[in-house]
Amino acid sequence: MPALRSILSAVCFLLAAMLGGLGGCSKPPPRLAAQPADQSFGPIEALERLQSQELGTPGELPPWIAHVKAIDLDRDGLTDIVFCEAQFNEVRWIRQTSPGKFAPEALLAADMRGPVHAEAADMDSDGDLDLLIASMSVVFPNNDRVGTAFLLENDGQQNFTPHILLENTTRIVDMRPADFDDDGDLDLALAQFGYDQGEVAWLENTGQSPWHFQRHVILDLSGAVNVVVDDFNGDRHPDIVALLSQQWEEVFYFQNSGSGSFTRQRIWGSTNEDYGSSGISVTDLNRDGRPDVVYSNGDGFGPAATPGPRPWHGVQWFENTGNGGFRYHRIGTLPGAYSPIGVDLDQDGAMDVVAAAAYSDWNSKNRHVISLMWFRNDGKMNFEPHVLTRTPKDLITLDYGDFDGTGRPSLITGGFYIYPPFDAMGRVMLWTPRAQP
Amino acid sequence: MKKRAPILIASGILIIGLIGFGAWWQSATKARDAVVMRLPPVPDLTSAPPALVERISIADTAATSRRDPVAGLIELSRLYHANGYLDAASITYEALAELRPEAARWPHLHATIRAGYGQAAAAIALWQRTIELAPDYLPARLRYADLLLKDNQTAAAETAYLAALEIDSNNPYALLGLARIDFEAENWNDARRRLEKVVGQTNYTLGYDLIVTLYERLGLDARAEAIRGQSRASGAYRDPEDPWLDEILPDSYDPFMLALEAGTKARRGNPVAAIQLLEQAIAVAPTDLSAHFQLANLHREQRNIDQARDYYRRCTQLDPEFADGWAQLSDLHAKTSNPSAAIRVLEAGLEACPDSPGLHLMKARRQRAVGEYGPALTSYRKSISLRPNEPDAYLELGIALIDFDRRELGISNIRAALETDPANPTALGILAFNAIELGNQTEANAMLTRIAAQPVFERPRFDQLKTVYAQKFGTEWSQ
Repeated sequence: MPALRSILSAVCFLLAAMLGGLGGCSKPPPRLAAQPADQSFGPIEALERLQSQELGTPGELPPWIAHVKAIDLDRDGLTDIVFCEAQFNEVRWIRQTSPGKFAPEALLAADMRGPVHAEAADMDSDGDLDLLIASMSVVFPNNDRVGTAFLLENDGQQNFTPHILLENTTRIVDMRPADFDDDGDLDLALAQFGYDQGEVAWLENTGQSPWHFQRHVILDLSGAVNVVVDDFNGDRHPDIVALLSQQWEEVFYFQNSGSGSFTRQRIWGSTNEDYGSSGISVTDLNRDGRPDVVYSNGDGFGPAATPGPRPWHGVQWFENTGNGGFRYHRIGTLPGAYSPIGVDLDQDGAMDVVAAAAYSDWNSKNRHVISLMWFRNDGKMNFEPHVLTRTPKDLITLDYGDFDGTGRPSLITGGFYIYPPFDAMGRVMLWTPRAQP
Repeated sequence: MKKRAPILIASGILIIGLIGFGAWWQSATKARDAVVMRLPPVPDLTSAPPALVERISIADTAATSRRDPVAGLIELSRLYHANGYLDAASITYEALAELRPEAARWPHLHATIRAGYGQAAAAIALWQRTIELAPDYLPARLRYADLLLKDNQTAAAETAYLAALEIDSNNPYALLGLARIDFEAENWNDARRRLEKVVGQTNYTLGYDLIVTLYERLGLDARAEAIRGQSRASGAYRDPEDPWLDEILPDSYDPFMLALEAGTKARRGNPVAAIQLLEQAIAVAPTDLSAHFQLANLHREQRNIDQARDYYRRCTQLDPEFADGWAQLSDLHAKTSNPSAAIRVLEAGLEACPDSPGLHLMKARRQRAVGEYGPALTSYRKSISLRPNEPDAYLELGIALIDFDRRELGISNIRAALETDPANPTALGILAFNAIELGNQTEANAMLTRIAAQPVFERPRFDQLKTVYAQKFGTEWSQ
């Protein structure tokens, strides 16, 4: 019997040793914790932060506001809004008459052939702001040479005479002024989306006769969405950064030697042909004195019957590291992201990023999509997403300015509605900050 | 002694069994712990379909159990990746790469996510690992080469494309990548050699974009224009097939992602797979209008008329305000010799969608076809008022008015069409012919100049116009 007891004791010992003493019964280790930047649990709701106001004159048809631009067009010290109505081929103006007060909307130019981008510059050095209009003619997919670059010459009283700078060319979607060849007059950088064929080009102001420009192609690829201009390498010559969508999904930097001769460099590219590049803008995001590039990918048009969101849609930035170097950083997720801008929305001294969103949930009837997202910078380049609004839907263009005389930035947005149901729409909207408790 | 023997034997067996069990228990615990410590937090599944939530829950439980936790982890990776929880999917792939380092699939799938988010350095490293483990898996080689090119590592990209060609000597994506390198280096002849091979193999679905520019650069304008003239908007490019990525699709509960993949498959010439994916989309989201409509269109393209009709009909039931459903159903009836059904559906559609420009245009066409000219003009005008920026209604109204001898009004509508679509071949042709006929040489010159600039205008028709021009004005037209 003692032997049996010994055996039983041994068994018990073995059991105890195996199951307990050697860790077999211990709790499993903790799983990985959520990352601070992880948006899996959703952004912060900040729907009360801004109050909205519809500006201008609503029409009968769903609006096609392709671009809004905050600018003091009449140079009276108050920021106005110039915008493109692509459906009616119009460029229009909403003038701020006193802080927060606006004159009735005015037509600046008709017959603009599908205008999709407006910029202002004193092109003829006469002391007033002229307008540069990039026109696609046909907004939907089309490879025809139907693009037009317009200049609207200001007579000083905000009466504009249109001049065609370039036509019968691949569709133009963006046009920015700068003196690329250092000859004292303003030239133009062009994003020519085209469709299957397209270009990034610049128009040299020849000065030979009024409004005579010579086109120079600097990149032979389709899908240019934006060109932005700044002195990115600090050599006092304006350089160009261009965003290419379509199957390329690349960002190019064109370093200007000062004579209009550009050295091309691809600074980033995605192998995801459905990345959905939708916009870039320039801002010194990290406040290091060098202009950075903010970039959105949210174009949800693709091989499905309707457009829609992708998990990778969002906002990112290219940190300008100097001497033509750029470093990619993801900011956050935003389905259907468009028109990213740098703006210190909460006036805390750190540059934030705001982006609009469109076509991200066509099938949904609950309208739980995000239309405007604020990525708040904590000052250390960590961005916390805040939903500013969920309605109206389908905002594709965004800008900011002082629209209430306080110096605080307000946002302006434009809605572009091409897919039914035609509800929850907004044409030109002003978003001013509410007083914070 | 005899009495004790069975006890001793039983005890021995018990001890051995216990040792065996203990060893398994320890090993299973270790395996479980190895998985658990690498498990991502379960993402927010608030808006996920219940079936997916349940599957994730089961897989998560399996991954934290002692019975094959890696299988649970694999299941989680598929579910997360296929349903757009890509942060979580990335973490699972990292874990699998550590736990199953011999498998090439995990770094590859992980690389597709990283590259999809633009994280080039991470993706390049993952694809390098994939290629080490599975040197013959071509999609990894192609994506790796593409990413090197996009990362400005041109020489490495060239080497990677050439390595892909060693596996598949005519692979069009590898050739296209090399052609792009040639193109950027302005090695036009090499680019041409490769691009001509690519477009020849793929019937211009690949390389269409670059070869036109290349021909223009080489001064081969006629060739460039001929290719441009093939299509007003091609956009045919699609990424290469990736079977490992496709294998996770059956685990998707996201109808939109399934619809996207279906669209891609259809464009790659695989309608059967596309139909399967759309059926899967509808199975997980039975009221998804977009998937129904896409499936109906696909069936129609495949001439599966009955199925197309059923799905269009379902669209009109799911959302009676969806005008395209009515329009397509009516059109299908008309094209399948069922005019009374076509009319009935069209009227029902207009009742449900009174502001649909497309349905009013269809009505105008039908009215015109049966000789109801007055009502047809009204319907055309209604369509134009609802959608003033598209050419079709203007054009057809203009042509109808010209037919009724209201030429001036008709021409003004054709001009309106041209404003909305400045290269519209029909409008350009009518206006050019009208100007020639009226003896308006200035306008005729302007129109012919515009036609000459647009390769989509058929060249034989252009030649006819030039002949008529010469007859009218007694001189050859020249730019």
